[in-house]
Amino acid sequence: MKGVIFNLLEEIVEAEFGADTWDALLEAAEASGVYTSIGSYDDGEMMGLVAAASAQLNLTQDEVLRWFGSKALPRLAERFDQFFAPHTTSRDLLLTLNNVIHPEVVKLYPGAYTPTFHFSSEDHDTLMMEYSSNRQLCSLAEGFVQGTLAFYKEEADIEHPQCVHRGDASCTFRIKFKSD
Amino acid sequence: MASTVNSVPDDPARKIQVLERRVGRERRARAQAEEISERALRDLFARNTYLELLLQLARLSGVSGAGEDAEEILLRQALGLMLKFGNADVAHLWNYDAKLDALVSSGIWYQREGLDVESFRRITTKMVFHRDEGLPGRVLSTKEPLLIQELNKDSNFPRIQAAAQCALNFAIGLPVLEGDEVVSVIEFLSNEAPSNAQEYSQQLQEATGQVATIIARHRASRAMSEAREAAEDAVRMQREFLGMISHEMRTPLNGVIGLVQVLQNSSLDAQQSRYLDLIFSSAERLQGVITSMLDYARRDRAKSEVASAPFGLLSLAQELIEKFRPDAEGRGLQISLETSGDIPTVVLGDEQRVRKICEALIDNAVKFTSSGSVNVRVVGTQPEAEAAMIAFEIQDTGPGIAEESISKVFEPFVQLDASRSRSHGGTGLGLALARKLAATLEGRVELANAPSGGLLATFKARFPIAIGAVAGGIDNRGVNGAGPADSGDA
Repeated sequence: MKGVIFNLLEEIVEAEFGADTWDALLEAAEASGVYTSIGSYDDGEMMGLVAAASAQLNLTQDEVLRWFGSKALPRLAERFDQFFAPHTTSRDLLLTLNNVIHPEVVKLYPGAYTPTFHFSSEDHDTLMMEYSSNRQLCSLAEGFVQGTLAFYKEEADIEHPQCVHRGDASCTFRIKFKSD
Repeated sequence: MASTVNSVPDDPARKIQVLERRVGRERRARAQAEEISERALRDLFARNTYLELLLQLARLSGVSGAGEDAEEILLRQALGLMLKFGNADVAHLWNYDAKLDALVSSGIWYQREGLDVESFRRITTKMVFHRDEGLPGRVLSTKEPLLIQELNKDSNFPRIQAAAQCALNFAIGLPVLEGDEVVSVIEFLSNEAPSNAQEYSQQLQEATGQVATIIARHRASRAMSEAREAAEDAVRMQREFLGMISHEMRTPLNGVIGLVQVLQNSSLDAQQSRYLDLIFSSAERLQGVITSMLDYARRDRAKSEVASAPFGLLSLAQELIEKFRPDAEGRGLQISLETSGDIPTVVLGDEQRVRKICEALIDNAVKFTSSGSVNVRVVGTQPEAEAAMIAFEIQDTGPGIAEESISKVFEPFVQLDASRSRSHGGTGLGLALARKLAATLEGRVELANAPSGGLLATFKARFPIAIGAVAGGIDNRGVNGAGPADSGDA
């Protein structure tokens, strides 16, 4: 996993809970804490940090990941305004993940592994999103979607009808946008 | 949530420890970032250098030039570029000889300036490597690059003594492939293996594609010009033959027509007279055909144009010697090349005609000499700055020619002794053609019996010197990497 993700987590933890909490998480996870954005680090180290946070905050790991995703998104939007500015809705932004955003991520962070999404629509207000990744971080993806909705000031119900963690072949999300 | 994990240590010592740890993490992260970006920069630089090499080689392979010289110059420049990229001391090109099924030196050699590897060069350019022999032979067999990290520990490197003398102990051999066939092998040698030898050899191997292009391009253009030459020759010969035959037929036909006219005026019966009229009209028709054939032959002769392009006099002479060597040596003759005077490396002229003329003279000398030698001398004088007077003198140790026959041998289809023609072959057109061609170049072909015995055939003509050509003798050509091809920005 790229160091930039660890940096984001550190930033958010420090902003929300203070630097000491980050220290405590590192200590609990026995992680090095030395992360540079363009470096690559073991996925296990991230999962260790998530597990430590889960223990300390009394949340499930999925809840930690969703929290991280939703908090990370505004920071990403600030850093990579060029991907967000052309769009006015979450749906438009999400649809550029495979062909615009992730290819650019790979250019910025050579060697980065990004998930792939498959989109379909059941009706005008619903977006079906299938998530595939070796990392199986569907909850992080869900958190990013929540963050995106907040960024575009939209509301939606997110269902997660299929999940690899529940034995399904893939992860799908049904995003039902609430019309104004 | 915050209250459960916020654990700012109150103990100042503990606090300092925590802060130091944080600073330490930051420092290490920065060092890591720097290392990553430095590595990326280094990779980028190496990549750029390699792309630059490919670009320059591609430029070379796109250059079109006439003749062997152009090919040699381009290939030597290509070797120079590759040598510098691979940080090697010596680069040399072997060519595959299909008849021998072996690699022979192309003579194309490039070495780092100021290096004394002369003894290694001398040995190398004389050697022939069959399959599996030495570095080149192994590359020929496997069609794969070969790296020898320490030549003195390699059991299959016959030139080890000379290499050791010149402090060369590392070698890379690379196949130059055309399709699946090895057409050449490039070898690079240096004092010791560079740290990234494997990577270099891989990149250099990729670059040999451009070298293959240079070789293929020139081979194709050579084959084309040879084919064109041969076709033109054939047509020219046909015309000559046509003209000759027509001429030879017209003379007796004139006799026939004249005598028929005489007969027509004698007393004949009606039937004889009618027969005679038939003979007369047939003869006249035949005469018409012959006249038009002669006209045709004459018209064509006037058409051919003299070329003026740069070519190497000495490389041409060397090529001719090599061409005739098998034949001469097969007859037990020695064949050799000598030069004297000022000979420009590159002159302007019609290389094909010069080649034809010399070929005819050398061919004649080789054919009619039963023992001894054939010596080709290239003699140059430079009466003016922009042109040189060049004489090709072909001296044999054959029987010579009777003085009264000397002018006769220049007539087409004449050989002095019909029985000799059977034993020596040839049509008798060679010398006639040589003299004709020499005339189109405003030169001369002469035959004389040499005082020391044997025949001395001389072709002499004036050649404008190509701009940038350097004067010199045979020994400094294609040999020591000091020619004009090397001083460039290779």
